Amino acid sequence: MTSPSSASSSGGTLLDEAPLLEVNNLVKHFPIRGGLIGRRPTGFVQAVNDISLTVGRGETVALVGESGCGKSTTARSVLRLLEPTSGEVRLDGVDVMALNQRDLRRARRDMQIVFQDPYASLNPRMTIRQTLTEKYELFGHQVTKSTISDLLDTVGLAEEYADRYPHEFSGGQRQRIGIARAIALNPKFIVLDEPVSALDVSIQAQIINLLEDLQDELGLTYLFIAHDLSVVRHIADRVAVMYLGSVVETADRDELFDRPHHPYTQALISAVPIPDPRVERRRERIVLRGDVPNPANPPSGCRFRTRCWKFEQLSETDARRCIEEPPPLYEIDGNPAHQASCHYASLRDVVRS
Amino acid sequence: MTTPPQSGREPDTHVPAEALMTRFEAPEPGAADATDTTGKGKKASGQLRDIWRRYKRNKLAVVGLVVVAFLMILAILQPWITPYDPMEQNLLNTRKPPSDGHWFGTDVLGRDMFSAIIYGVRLAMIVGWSVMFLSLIVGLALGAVAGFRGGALDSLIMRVTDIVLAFPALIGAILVVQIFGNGIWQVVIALAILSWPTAARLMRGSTLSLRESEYVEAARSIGASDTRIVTRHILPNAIAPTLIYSFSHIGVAVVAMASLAFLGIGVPPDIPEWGTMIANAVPSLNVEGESHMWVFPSLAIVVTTLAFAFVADGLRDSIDPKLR
Amino acid sequence: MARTDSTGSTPDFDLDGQAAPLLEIDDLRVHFKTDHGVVKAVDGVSWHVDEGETLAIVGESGSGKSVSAMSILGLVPTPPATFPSGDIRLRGRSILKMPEKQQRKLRGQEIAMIFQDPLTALNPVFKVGDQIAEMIRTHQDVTKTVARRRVLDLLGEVGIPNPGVRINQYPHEFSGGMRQRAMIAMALANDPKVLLADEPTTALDVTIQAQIMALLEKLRQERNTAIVLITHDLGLVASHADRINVMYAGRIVEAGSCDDVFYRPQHAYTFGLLSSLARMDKQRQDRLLPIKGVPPSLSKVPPGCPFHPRCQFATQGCVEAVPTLETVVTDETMNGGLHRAACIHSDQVEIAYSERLAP
Repeated sequence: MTSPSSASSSGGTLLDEAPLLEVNNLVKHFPIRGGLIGRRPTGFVQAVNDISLTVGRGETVALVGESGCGKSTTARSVLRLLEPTSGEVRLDGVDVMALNQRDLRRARRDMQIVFQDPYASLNPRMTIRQTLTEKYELFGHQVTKSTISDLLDTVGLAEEYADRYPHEFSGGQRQRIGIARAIALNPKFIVLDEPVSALDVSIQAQIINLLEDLQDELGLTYLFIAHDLSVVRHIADRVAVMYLGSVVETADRDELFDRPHHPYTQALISAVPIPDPRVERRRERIVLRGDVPNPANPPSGCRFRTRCWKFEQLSETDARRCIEEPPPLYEIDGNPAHQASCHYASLRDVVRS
Repeated sequence: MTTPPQSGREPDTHVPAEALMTRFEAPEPGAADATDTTGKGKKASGQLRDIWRRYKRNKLAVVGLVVVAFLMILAILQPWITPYDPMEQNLLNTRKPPSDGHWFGTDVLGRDMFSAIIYGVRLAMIVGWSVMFLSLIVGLALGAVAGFRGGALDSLIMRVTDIVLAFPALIGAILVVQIFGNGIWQVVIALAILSWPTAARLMRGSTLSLRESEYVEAARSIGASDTRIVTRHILPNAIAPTLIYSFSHIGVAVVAMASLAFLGIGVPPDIPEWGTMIANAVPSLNVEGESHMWVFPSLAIVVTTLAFAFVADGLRDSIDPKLR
Repeated sequence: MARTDSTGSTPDFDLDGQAAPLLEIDDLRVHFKTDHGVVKAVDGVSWHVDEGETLAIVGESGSGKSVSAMSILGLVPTPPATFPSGDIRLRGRSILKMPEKQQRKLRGQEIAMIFQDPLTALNPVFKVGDQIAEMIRTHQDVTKTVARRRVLDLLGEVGIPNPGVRINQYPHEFSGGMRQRAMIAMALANDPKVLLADEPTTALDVTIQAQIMALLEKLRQERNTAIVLITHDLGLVASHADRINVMYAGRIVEAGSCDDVFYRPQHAYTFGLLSSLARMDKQRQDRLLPIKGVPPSLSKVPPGCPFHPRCQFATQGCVEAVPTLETVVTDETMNGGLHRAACIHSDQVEIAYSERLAP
């Protein structure tokens, strides 16, 4: 096991090693079936639209965005819990897309997921011991007397809880069980799908700390799906912001929060209230118009333009470019680690003002 | 739950506070025995005890359960209980009202009504439970497959259920018995054929919703195969509505068998069956002193059906409170 | 912003000759009888709110923060609920003592509520416009045409585009944010004096949340509506509340002005909450500082201070008696208003917090 725990605090990609996870041009379309008889699709929801990202060993990359932006679909497609429409996924050199069902099941040992809802992700009719034991059995591992108690101990639960059912636990405890299931048998890569957003405020910090401790101890690599930017700022090394199925901006954590360039990133950050009244009185909020468009029928050109505050301020000629030409990911200030897909990207401080 | 490392000072009363915490961290109501830390065996049966605790609240269901248990005992012990051979005829002693020798009187052929009714219990239990198990097994299997696999197989199975359900039940049963001939097992098969589609549809519905649930996805994420997902994760959680339906259907099966027998279909006429008994009593309907011939079998049918209905009702409330 | 100086502990009469508070809850207790014992969802809670003011009630799930608001609107079913004590007064008049008919008139007309899930307030089988018109016509004697014109105005006011089209649509044709706006329009139909907002944006995305909160802020300013914001989100509270009540296990544990609570917390729970938050505007700290343990079940509230099993300041005294909500005397009370806390270690809490705030 490689454990470059320094990576989690250094905040940069590790250039000396190949990334653990490499995703290239991932696409996931969901067919829309209309009518009662015909099973032929009448359209497609473009849930994930050509996404590429890399996650280095021991690194935490956050995928953020609002509901329906495709962040969860991306994560599930990477794990092939959903079959992607096209694209390439490599985990530690293994071509995940090429695996047949049997090999895929075996490969799941290395790629795990922690779910958002700790109430829904545990089988209510299985005790905690049964739930955890199942994973060892599936990968042909002997479960000794101490296996489960050691595992529970790692996530901060006492063994005496092992023979209880999920409904006897609080949300935070269930999430610890979900984490225990994910880290059993030392996976290389874990998707954390909004692991704290269903929890009470006072419990969130416990779980965040646990996840960070486990990363340091076990050298885990995280893809952290979230909509809560405060938590992202704390836990992530790098951040990718998604809107309507595409990555619109990606950068190292502090770079993204302190120097956001895409108008959507700026609006998103500015919309998050900060628990500090004096700071809040100083801040100006960018209030976006309207709702996210239907992903089955996205706007032409830049997908964000229908809600973009900057688009409204552009001259007609400048605005035409947004309508006609989908913006690629531009490098920002010559920094290859910071990219934003906006023709008119520019800095705006939205955290403090 | 252990405490995450805490910076800052620890109060001197830390230990009692910690002990108190475990005692008070019982989660939401419904977590009945969360604070009970005695014994593992007790823990494992916690769910059953929960079910029983909720079941007890429904008094009618408890009465129903007692009656069902009583009927089961009668059915098993019938050969030793009945004072007479229920088939034995005595043409010199027909249509006699209840007396010391014949508690429920005698019928048109001079058979002992009490013995016949008890024999009918045995028959009703055999047919009722058999229909339940058959339709449950077929319904669970086909419903689970349809719901989990989806696609063409799902369409096919559902269209078959449509066709069966579109048939008027009695005519369907008559048709099946006509095809297979008379006999108890033929009746069982006829009734099972008619009742599996509802079971299958219920099972399909539960499976469909559970297929998308996070814990099924979680099972897939740790490399569980489809077979394992269906048997370990979907079936135990999806079974409740189907089980309750099948159980409530026992009473229906008993009535259906009696109705067929009343029409002279299914159970051979020489076997004492409640429907046959009522049919035999039709000429005596308005004859004074012969009402015992239809009152007792009718009562037997009513009591049996109601008892199973009450139990099913109690199960619905107790197995899965969400179903209410 | 209107601020009154009525003391929280004796709100029945006013000390400075001012009118009674707009809406006032006094020593309210709401208990539920369950199989697992009596759940004391609200256990002796008092608060008040005035025109043009935003009062935030902050708490985690199971703190009882919603129940007090729901009992104002008579939305708590009895049984299983019982009200062992308490009064709810609108402009000094007790709502609970009014005849049923008059209570109903007040609810919806003077006091309206918006919920986390708009679908609980909107009936799926009726058109949105008809539901709002119905709301107007129950409380006001106006013709259908007048009511309809009023609905169009309301939909426009809450920022729903194309009100003429939307008025004839059903709730499922609205997006989440639009539904929330429709529910706000319905709540505003009779120009209520008090708006109870129970987690109004929890189900929404942050950009939509910003829209909805901006709308509520506008209404407060233009109509001088009193807003009771019930939430767990301390960010929302910091940006919108004038005063804050922090609830824990069915009781108010700290109450004060927004700045007082955020910058000089006096209760160990408030201290813990504020310390545990990850902040978007700060460079990453090494570790978060969580509150240990889990919130208590309301049917088994620990004796003494309900927070003591999780509290880093707890001593034997915390176990022995339930601390009462005492006025905190500080040398400089920020932004006026009373600051109260139910914590016997508030001195230590304040010192610890100022150490933490110091860079």
